[in-house]
Amino acid sequence: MAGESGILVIGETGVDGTLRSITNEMITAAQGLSADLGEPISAALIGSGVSARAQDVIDLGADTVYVVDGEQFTNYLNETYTPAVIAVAQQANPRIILIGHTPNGRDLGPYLAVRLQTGIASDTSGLNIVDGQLQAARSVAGGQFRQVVSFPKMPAIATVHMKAYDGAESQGGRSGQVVNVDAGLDASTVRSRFVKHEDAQVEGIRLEDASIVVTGGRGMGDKDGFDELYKLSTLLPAATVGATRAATDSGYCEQDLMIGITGRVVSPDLYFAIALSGASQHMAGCSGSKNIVAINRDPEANIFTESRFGVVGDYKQVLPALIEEVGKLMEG
Amino acid sequence: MRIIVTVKQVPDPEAPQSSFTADRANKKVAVAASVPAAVSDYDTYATEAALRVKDAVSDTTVSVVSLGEDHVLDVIKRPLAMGADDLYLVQDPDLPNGDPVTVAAALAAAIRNIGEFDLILSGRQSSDLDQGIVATALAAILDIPVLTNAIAIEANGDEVQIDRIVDDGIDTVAARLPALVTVSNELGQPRYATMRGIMAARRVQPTVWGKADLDGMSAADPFTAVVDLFAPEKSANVEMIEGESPAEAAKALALRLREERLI
Repeated sequence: MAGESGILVIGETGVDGTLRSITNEMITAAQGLSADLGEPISAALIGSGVSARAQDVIDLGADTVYVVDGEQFTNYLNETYTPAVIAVAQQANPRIILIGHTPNGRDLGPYLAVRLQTGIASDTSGLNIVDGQLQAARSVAGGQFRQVVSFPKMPAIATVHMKAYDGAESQGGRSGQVVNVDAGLDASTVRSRFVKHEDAQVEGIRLEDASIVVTGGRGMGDKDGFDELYKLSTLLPAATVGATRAATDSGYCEQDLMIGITGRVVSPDLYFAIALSGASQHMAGCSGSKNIVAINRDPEANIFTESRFGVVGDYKQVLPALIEEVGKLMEG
Repeated sequence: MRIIVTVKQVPDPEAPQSSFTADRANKKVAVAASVPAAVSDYDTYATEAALRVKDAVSDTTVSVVSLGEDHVLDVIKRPLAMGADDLYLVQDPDLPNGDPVTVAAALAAAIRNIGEFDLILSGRQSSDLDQGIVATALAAILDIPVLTNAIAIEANGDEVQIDRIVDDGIDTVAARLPALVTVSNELGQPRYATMRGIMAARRVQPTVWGKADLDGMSAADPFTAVVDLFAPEKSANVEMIEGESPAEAAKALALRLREERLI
């Protein structure tokens, strides 16, 4: 196809149709690209009942929203979503396609790139227009290096790192176009099926929503160490506990507390990094934190170069005193 | 069943950060000679997943395929020592550093050379580049269904079913075979190599192919190009909080955080 123009954001919604925050973040990314290119922003919404959200996406900043609405799209499945996005891409004919670097976006992006015979860069966190074309920066070796990727073919596809951009806010009353798209899905060609979904058992606040995260690493040594982290987090408002992969793999806490390149991505106001080295794979999940506090007995630990405040010491000695003092402060 | 596991050899990611430097002229990471090779972490989980299926389904063989430029046999045979059966190596100086969709095309050609298969298992992403593109693109090129980020896997002769972590919980999905599944570390620890496995692995002669042995590898332009690679500058302006004792430092930290209205 020739005449490619504009940025197409593949929106993500929950099963109940609510927009996920990555959608707002991609709209922000698209606004920067749109301003540089002087080309419009469009968005795709795929799911069941998502038509009702089209105006919300226009209010966020999209000029056109392509809607693929149907029962068969209630749950994400690569084999149903890929043809839906292709159908939208054929109508929108975009220069750039942005997809969330989320469990489903990571699944969709490469399959789509092959089908569209074009290039893809994943987990990008710096999108720029250079000579009229997209260049996407991404972290390599977990963050020790930055790699900049260019796209000789269009559309350029990038999956966007969660929390790399602030989410766009709704500007009520924007006007835009809503286009219903038929994915032309032939059910007989679908070889996979959705079986079931189980909601995560969340006690207290979700990691992504917490204002304060207290995270422990390999150096916590055992489950009892994590009990101390919970003691600190329960003293603080909107706080919860996270972990590095080394800690979850060692069984110190539940798997779904894992923060990092393959786990959750958080950006709280305050992040306690306790007995963790600050490996780049972990930092990829927390580097958006406004303030990092490192507690580590190794003064050479990388985490100190990433932090605003640091204490060198064994957490077993530092943490009880910190819990006591924070307790006093919160009471007073 | 015939299972194929894709495995990548990488520089040991546990090596000190100082062993890796940015080779900006060649737009790639330069690795010190002292850094040993390793099997990419998630690929050992993919191997484990394959061996669990092999344990459960009689008459299953597990073949390993790896694309690289400088395979170290003792390293790349680790999946064999764990219990896989045979090994195919695709060796080329340029392919491994190139565009991931092109890497997937080369793996697809190698897998067509290997022949019929029921299931392909791959790590969710490599531990050096962390792109997570090659395996899913491979499924698209072979036109088979893909299920990603498996934390549990079951297969029989007709179908594979997995659990996968999604944003708000766990999805269970299934696909008719042949299919490709990518595997995440929540699957559980990969098994150790046994002495018997190590001995058996030594006797395995890998099948080695070059680019010329792969059909359909066109000389077309790549889909992406790396235009820069550099080490970002870090602003090390950490404020170290000190005290007479660790407890005193902790107290000072709490007061400092309150002063900044962070707690």
